[in-house]
Amino acid sequence: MNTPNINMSGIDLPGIKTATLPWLSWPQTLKLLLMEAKSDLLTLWRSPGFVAPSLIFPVMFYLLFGVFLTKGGQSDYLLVTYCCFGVMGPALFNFGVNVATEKSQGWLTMKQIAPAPVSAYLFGKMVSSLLFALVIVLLLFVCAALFGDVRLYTSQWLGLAGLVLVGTLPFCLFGLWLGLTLSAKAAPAVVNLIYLPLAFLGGLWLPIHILPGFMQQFAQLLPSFHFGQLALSVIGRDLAQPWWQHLLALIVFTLLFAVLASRAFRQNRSV
Amino acid sequence: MTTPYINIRNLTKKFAQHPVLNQLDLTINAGEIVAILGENGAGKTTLLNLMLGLMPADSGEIQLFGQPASALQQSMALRANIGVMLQQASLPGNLTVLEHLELFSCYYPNPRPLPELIQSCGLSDIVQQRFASLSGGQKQAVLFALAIIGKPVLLFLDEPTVGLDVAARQAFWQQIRQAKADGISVVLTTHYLEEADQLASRILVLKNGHFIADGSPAQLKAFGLTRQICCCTRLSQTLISSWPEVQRVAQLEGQPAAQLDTPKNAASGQQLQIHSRQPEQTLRRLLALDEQLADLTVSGVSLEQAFLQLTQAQEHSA
Repeated sequence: MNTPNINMSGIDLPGIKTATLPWLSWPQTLKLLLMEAKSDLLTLWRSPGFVAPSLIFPVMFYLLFGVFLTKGGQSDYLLVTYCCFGVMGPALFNFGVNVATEKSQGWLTMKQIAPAPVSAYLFGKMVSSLLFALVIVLLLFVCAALFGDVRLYTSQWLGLAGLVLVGTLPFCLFGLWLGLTLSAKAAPAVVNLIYLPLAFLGGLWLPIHILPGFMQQFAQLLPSFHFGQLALSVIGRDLAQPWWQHLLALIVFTLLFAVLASRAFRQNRSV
Repeated sequence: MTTPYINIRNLTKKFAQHPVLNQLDLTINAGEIVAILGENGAGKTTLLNLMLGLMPADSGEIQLFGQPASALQQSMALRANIGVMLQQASLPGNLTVLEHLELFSCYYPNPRPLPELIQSCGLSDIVQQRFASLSGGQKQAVLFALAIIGKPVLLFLDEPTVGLDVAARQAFWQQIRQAKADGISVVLTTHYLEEADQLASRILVLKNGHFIADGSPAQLKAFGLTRQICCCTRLSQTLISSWPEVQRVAQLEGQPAAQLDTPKNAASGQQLQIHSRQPEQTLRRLLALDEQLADLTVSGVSLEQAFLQLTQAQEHSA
């Protein structure tokens, strides 16, 4: 088994596709990526248990705490943090719960045996998670402008939307690691147990500065806190900490989850 | 000489110190339809997973198309040579059959045209249905279509008809015969003797970590016709084994005569197990020679017993 180099020379096998054969052409690769994204999006869209909570909860919580029950002046602050909370949902659930399910179905193994690139599968999941995140952000923007009287510069609206969408990356990888590690049965409960405390303790439900001091200290350890603070810096409502520290923290979390996920993937393959 | 499609030497795989596969050898050539028969837990699925490079072997060598099985992971093109139906694999239930076929066909540079595939796999009526709404047989038909969508030369089918009713099983067999007619080689695991008999050109029986038999269905059938006669008789083992149709005589252990109900039996001799190719002939002889013959039962020889005989016969003749 110590021949890592694939060498088909000297082997007489008519009709066998060899390792040196060029694989998919560029148009075929593009079509594959689109099909993976379309398939994952259809799967998600046809799961009421995913669509309803991920779209309704952020909007409902924002209207409740950020618009109707607030004493003014918090609608813009909470718009930003509920955007962060909202986009974390599809990232954690589509990767966490759905990867765990597809792994236990044998669907992932089928793709691993077929010449299906893992990167295309992950790309498809990423696209569908981002599209859901975009819908959530737009719904929250409309609610904020109509009911919360939030007025921002165009550059702030665009900057906020772009930042929270890009900021889903560490949470996608976090979800992927959980999905590859957890069983299909355990995944929904565990992801909820992580998602909701992560949002609350990271200051995404209530402003971080009204939480007790020790909780503010603890929040420094959470990716959700740095995500929220970085997004708040777009409208100038972040704490005094320099923005690049939050960015650095998010990059470190991204790398950490990427390493954990790829290790889990390799272990999954050789079970 | 043509390189075999599969070449396995001295393969050993242990789970928790217990060897599931032990020093196993196997060569499969182009054009063969091989059935691997074995009871549940005999290691059939483990063997298949090892051949597909899904798990590492503890020792030994596995080659596919002259390449180590691990090369499959590195090369898309090598993987396109094989099609696989995993045991109990399932697809996301809320995509339609057509959506699944369309996605899978994107994995190959030169896939089978979908209309032709749908036609030949009998999926025309269900292409718009969601996978979750299909019956067991329909699901297996879709998974089979996915296995051959990339024009493989070698198919791995892991217990493809478990849980199917008779009609669905026969429809599935027709698909495998079609694949065979298209020149595809097949490695099939099953615990149905009939399935192996119907489809395979070669049958291997896996037991205790290695193959205890390797023969054609014709050889298998010869032993499948054997019947087992059990009785309590005064006739000697030597006499009975001298009859030409009798293959094997053994004294049944663990049943001392004293435990039998009637005192007559206790006096009348020993409990024997006789394997006969012509059970009627053997019975006629037994009844003619022993008026006190008792506790008579006649049953089919289990596949395992038949193959044990087959291997013993081969060992003796060698």
